Amino acid sequence: MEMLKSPALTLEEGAAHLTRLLQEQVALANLPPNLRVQWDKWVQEANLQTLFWEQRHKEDWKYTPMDFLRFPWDVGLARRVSPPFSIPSVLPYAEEVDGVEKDLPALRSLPVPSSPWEALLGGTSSAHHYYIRKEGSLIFSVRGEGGVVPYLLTLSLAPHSVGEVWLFPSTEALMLLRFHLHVGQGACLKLFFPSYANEAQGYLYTILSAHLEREASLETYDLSTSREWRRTEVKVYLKEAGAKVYLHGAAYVDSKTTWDQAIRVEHGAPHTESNQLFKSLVRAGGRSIFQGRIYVHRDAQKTNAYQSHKALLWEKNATAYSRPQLEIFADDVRCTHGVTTGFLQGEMLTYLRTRGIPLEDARKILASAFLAEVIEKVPYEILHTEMYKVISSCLSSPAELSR
Amino acid sequence: MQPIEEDVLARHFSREYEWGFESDIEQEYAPKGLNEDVIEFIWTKKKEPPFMLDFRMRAYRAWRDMREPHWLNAYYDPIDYQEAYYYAAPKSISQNRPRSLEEVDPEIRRIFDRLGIPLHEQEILAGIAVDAVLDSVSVATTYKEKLAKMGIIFCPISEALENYPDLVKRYLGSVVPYNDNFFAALNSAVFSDGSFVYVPKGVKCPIELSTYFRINARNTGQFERTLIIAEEGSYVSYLEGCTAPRRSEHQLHAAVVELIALPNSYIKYSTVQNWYPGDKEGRGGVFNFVTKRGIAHENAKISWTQVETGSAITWKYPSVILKGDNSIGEFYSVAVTNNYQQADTGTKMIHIGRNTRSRIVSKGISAGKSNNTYRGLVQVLPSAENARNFSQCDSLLIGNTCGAHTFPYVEVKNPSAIVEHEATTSKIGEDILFYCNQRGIPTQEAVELIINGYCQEVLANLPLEFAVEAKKLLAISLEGSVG
Amino acid sequence: MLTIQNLHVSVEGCPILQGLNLEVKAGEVHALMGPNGAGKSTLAAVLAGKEGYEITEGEVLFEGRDISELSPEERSHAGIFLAFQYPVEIPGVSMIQFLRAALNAHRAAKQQEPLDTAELMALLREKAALLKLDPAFLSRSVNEGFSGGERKRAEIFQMAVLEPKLCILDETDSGLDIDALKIVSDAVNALRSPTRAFLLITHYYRLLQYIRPDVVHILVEGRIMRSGGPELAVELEEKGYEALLSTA
Repeated sequence: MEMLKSPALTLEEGAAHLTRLLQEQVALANLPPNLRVQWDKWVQEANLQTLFWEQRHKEDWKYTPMDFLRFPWDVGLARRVSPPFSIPSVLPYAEEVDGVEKDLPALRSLPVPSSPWEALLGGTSSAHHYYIRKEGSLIFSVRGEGGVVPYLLTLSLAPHSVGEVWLFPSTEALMLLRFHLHVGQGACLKLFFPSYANEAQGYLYTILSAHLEREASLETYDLSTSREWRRTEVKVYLKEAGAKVYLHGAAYVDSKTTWDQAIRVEHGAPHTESNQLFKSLVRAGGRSIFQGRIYVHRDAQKTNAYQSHKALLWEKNATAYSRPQLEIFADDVRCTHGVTTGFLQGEMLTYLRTRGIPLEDARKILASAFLAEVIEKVPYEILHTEMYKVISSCLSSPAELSR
Repeated sequence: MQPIEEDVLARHFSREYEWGFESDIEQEYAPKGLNEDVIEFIWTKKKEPPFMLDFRMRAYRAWRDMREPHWLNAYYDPIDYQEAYYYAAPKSISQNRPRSLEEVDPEIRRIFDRLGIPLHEQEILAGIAVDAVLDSVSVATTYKEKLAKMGIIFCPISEALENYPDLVKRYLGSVVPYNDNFFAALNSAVFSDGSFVYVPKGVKCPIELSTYFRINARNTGQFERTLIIAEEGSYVSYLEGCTAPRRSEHQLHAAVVELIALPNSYIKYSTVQNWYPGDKEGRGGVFNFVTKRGIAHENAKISWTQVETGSAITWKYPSVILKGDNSIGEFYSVAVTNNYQQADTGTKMIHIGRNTRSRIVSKGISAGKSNNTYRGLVQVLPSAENARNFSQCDSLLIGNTCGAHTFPYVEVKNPSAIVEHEATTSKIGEDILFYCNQRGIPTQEAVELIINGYCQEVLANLPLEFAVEAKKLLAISLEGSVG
Repeated sequence: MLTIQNLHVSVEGCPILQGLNLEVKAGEVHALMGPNGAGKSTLAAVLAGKEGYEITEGEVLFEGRDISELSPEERSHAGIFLAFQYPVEIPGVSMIQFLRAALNAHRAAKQQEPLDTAELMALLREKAALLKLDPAFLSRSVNEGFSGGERKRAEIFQMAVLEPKLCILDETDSGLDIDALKIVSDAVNALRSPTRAFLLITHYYRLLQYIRPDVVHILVEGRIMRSGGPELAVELEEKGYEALLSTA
């Protein structure tokens, strides 16, 4: 794309430009009237330039390159495309509903924006709302072309329903996806976010938030071998007792790629549980960023929260940043977190080689084994095989040539 | 049994600050506030060599153009820097430095006696040399002559500027530049005293060197400066202890400590910080905003150990720049917060050399309405082949009106590095208390036992006398919060 | 020494012990057997004074004195020792520090001077030998990183050090291999004396082959259904609980 080759703005100018562009999108937002008023206000007050001077935003973007702000973006087009493989799910499609008419739980629990991005996207024009009454799946396979594509999706799960979400966004420009989930009492949702090496080399920024009621459960699987700049923010609020969330991520971070996960799990009620398990394998020039936060409110006693990020640096010039954070205000909780970064240890390689496996194969086997801990947790086999295939073929080429 | 928070823990934490007495000594002050004249006043008062005026002025101008940082996980009302005195000294000392202990003003000697820090050598705990600093001025240094025979210099930094200006000039600001940060710049501009240590090549300092800091005067900041240089193959163990009177207004303490560990040397730096923490409603107390950093050359080792029980706000990150190959950095910390205390502390380990190693053990204990934050950076630069780090950061919460925060930053740019960070949060479990009770140990004592056990790995790194004192401090600062 | 009369105990409103009677005299060894959930461990916890166990009826007398209002440490000072089924870990606190605190608390309760370090170490070494424990274990943190067998031996070791009057062993035999079981039993046998009583809580006959009880009780649904001599344990081993109780 021509535009991508010629960044013309400073970061500050780009932020101002994008702010204006997104503000103009708001007029048609598919929201009920009372929310519209509220969001219009937030949208008009939002300013992406605060990213550079407000301490909180600066911390959130501490390690993330923001070069995408330097392009003079125009509004792009969203095109529905078929998913990269046939979805193994057996659930019927979720029902799309009109956000203006219906009193949707997800619109009621849509969090107050905590960043200018959330404000600008919460009121965006391309908004779609889905509802799962008993069981259903939502497949989002959209390709953004020609410029900025902002998207607002919400999904509400009725109490005791079962759902699946498959996200396949891709772009060669800039896609901004804001997705809010409301998981009703006792409901259960699995979210798959596989992104396999494709030719799309744009910028994909996803903000995923979830609001869980009593005994609700959410599992997410973020599998990435993408060559995009990819930032995913996940904010889970365990609102009521017994809610559980399990977040998984496995990434092959190619050279010149940014894989960026910013996670916040908030325990707002007793007996809630969360587990974050993330692994990234980083090639030369690749950048793996993990920022995870566990926040336990005062009255969220008997909470269990775990968090683990492991990064494997494959070769020189690979970089990993980890910022696992705990904020605990209740004393009767069990919270642990751990991060490691390391490399393939000599003894393991030697062991495989003594069994006659050539060095490069041995490295590939161990790389797959490293990510397998997460990959094997994904309930659909097709996602394992696709992921292993990509890793294996990508690792065969030297980093400098791999794109 | 009653809930833990209400009974023994509550009693455990309610003891008063024992070191809060105030002493009446005639003080000499600089004019109130800060400007170039005041800097010059300090420089003149202290009869410093000319390069110091330049150093102070550059620092002052850098500071003037900086903004006070506010990223710490704590809140305090803005500080009016023009309302404080930047130089206060007991008149008897500032006008005529005592040449021997006998010459020290008896009133000043009484202060240190009350603190349990006798300045008479014969009374001193065997094997510890003491430099006593009152407000901004060093009062007395013991064991000086014995050390001098080995070539070890241990004296007030003002005296070092007089006697060894070249040494000071070479190293001052070499680890913490004059414009490093807001508080370091302020310190560089106005510091009036502190300790200076120089250990020559191959010398193992046979006794612990120790400095006791005491803030006494009203509305003064304490800005001491410590500079420790360990030449090749030498060893030194240095301790510092701090107290302040109980006052309803806040007192600013912005110290700078620089350690230079030349090849194959080892500097062990221990702190027992017990500045006045403020009262139970959070009034008063010391703002402990300190910059501490060391540089380790080839095969050198720097080890920081700190027990932080005092101060209204503690904001500091004793750090090690692991510049030389095979150098080692260690950080062992216990931070206790109670009532309305806030602590945001941790370390930075910057791995530059090959085969560098660092180890971080941090134990936070929060009680009352306090907030306790561990914040630490482990950075492995591309040059740091085979760097290793292990961090363990545990938090213990007592009651649910306090908070524990863990903010590690891990940045790795070398694929042969291994960095591990682990953290857990726990409480003093009822099952452990019951187990101790069943063996006949009363709850209060059991809590002390458990807390000491929890901090064991850190306390084990303190020299013996300090470890005993630290255990007492832990018990006192947590008194009344478990039950 | 221990007299329990018509004891009813509830946990969170749920009745566990329902009219238990038991009389243990000095010098005696009693075995308390019963299936899972019969209330064996509840009895141990109630005797030691664990919170959350509510005595709704009946009384517990230790040497003629009602202990229900005593704190756990007061009961300990009075001479009640519980060897826990699951001893907890106390990180960073060495066995020496722990037992110093415990012993000196006991001594203080008797208005005795605390032991000095030499006396303490001599005592601990002597008792460690009884349990065939490597003296190095004294410097390790209490129960931290101990195997199941080591923990149980450490419990009996503490018992030997504190010299209680009434020793309650809660499932001490579980998780022990034959060698460890023998060491523990030998130690218990060595501690038997005319002034000391034992209450062995166990699931299995195994332990009773090594420590011969004077009286065996079978606890079912919070009540003692049968009592007898050591032969009762043999009978139980042969027939099982159901058969034994249906013939009762």
